[in-house]
Amino acid sequence: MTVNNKMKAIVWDGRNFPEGLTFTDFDKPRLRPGWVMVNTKAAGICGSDLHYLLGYTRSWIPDKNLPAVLGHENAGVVVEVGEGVTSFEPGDRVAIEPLHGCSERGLPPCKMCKIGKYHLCQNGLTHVGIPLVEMLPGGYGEYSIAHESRLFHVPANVSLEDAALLDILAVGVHAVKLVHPGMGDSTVVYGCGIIGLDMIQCLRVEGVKDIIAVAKYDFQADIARKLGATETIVLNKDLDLVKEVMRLTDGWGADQVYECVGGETDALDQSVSMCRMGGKTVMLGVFSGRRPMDLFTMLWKEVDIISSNSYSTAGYEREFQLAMDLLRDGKVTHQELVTHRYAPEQWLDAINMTISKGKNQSIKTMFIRE
Amino acid sequence: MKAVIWNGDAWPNGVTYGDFPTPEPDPGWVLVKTVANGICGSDLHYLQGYTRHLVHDENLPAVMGHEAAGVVAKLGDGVEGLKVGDRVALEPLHACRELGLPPCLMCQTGNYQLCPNLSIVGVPIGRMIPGGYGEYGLYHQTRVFKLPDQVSFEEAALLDTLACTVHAINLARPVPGETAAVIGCGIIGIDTIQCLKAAGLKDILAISKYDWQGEMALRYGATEVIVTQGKLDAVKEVKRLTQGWGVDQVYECVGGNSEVLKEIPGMVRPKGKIVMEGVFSGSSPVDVLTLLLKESPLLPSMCYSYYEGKREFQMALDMVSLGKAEQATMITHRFEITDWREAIQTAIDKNRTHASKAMFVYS
Repeated sequence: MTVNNKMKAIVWDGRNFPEGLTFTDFDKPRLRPGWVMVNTKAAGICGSDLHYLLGYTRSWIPDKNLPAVLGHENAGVVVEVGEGVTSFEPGDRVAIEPLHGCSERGLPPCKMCKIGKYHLCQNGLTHVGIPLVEMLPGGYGEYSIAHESRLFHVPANVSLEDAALLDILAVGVHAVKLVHPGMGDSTVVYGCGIIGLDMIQCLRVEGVKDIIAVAKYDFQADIARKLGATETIVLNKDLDLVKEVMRLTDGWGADQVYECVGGETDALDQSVSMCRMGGKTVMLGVFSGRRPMDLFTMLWKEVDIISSNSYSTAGYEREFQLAMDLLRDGKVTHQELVTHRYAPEQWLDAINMTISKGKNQSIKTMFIRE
Repeated sequence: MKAVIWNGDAWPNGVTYGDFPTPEPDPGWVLVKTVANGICGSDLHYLQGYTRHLVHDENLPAVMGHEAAGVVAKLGDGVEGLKVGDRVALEPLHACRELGLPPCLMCQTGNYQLCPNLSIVGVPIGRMIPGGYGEYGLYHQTRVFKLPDQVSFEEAALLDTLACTVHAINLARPVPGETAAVIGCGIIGIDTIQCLKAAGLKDILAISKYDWQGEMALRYGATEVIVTQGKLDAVKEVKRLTQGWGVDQVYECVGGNSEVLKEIPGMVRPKGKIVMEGVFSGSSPVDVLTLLLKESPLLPSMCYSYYEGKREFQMALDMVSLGKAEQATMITHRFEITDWREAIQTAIDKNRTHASKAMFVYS
């Protein structure tokens, strides 16, 4: 019997897209005790992948982890289990939680891992498909390995495509577990990319009164409304966003603004302005570093900035599992969100399409393997 | 009455000492003869013109002073529980109900410090009510607190500051065994240290710019002091003192034009809280990426109001009367009101004069 140690993968050598990417043979990851090998069937292309591929965040990746296989939004089928794995067997349909803290990597757990907040691991949080600390090949390749504790069974009524987006839905679950929105609250979701759209669905599950979705494009606003937004605002240069939110909230502003924009924008200042006195701005967007903020207004209104970073556990529950339950129970849908599908061989088209997502009316582009 | 009067122009030209109409108490209000009044840094921001844009011209000329204590001089109709001659502490914050307006959402829910109609005695925003820079100030009866015998007028005049720090502590709720860093050792920083000590914290790291402030922080309960002289890398020091982990809570007590929030997220442990007490003049850079990576909340603390149904001003008064906070020794400079020019200049030059708190004391 010959053992094939190679797989097909979209491989990134560290240079900018498109030169830095090739579709080629790559070493299959080696299974470890306690870990599981998954043949990825659905793999999302995340905006943060593009930031690496376009060089914006290239400096975060150590050279020793290159060449790398990206892709951290994955679901597939178990092909092999490592020594001691008891909860999975070949053929199981699974979603992969990409976050691996120190315990999973065989290190003594740090203070944050000990209390279940492994998303804040102090010994180097690493992800399947994001080679920050270690190169664990992601869904841009045929096979990934993940620690047994990072796999979740996908119920029969949930598609692997929908399950591949749990990494995003879990971010919304984490934000509501952190902030506890509820009945009667008025909220703004600022930004209707996929994070914003899943945030809207999570707020609807929590039963908040108003969900005002602020979108850049009309097509995003249309989906936002379908997923539960009670009002939508599409940005344009003649629109005074803050004024419009005030008009929709009896002049007070929203109880919470979920900021899902990030980047080099002044979205945080705007979010504080859209809050009522004593409200909360929940920061989900990733900003580049130091941003100027109007601290006078923030103090005068006593608006908290609550940072919400990925997900891990809430109480005794895994947030990734809570997200899976929402899909299983039909409380949340991802069917509207996967707008474009490509075979991995079509990587050039797929990534180009995602880069111009506004023009292409794309919410989520996904690689699909038969 | 005699008063120090500000006409809106920048110090020293805009300030004079002269006659001003003695206010009359409406029903429910109390006229108080000022005995002591602290000079607050925010008074200086107005007088020096930094925050002139916040002041409506119809509030001028103004009699400043929101850190006052005194003796009840005259009661408006319907005031109960007070009599002429009572020694009293004075909360300057007045909102819808006190101003005779139907209560807004914030007032209805006990957050009157966030009321859009907020008016602060001695501060020329909202409705101008003359404060402690004059012989007499005017207060709603709900803002007048009878002083226990053991609390002096001078101590009482600083309750506004202490109440601000009580509010900050109530927002962040530190518990025994936690560690905190206090950035800035002006009076807000020192009062924050006292509140943290009263809350039973293990380590209280004070970060000051000058030696004299650092020494003061130690006297009031700081367990470690980092004096930066404007040069030392405070983040590195905090990390060294906490074995690389960071502190559980950081209290920012600087404000103004400083850029401290560029550095502060580096000092806190993952998920640790950052409380912003300083009043910034406007925009300032914040290291939001580190906030996100550590998932640290940034919590501004604006004045004070209620905590779980209790008045925070009363909590501050209780701290002083129970000996949990030392106020008297913070008053470094006392002036007759007629020496207003020297008093205000002393407060402006505090880096030279080492004035933690300069105060008008009426004889």
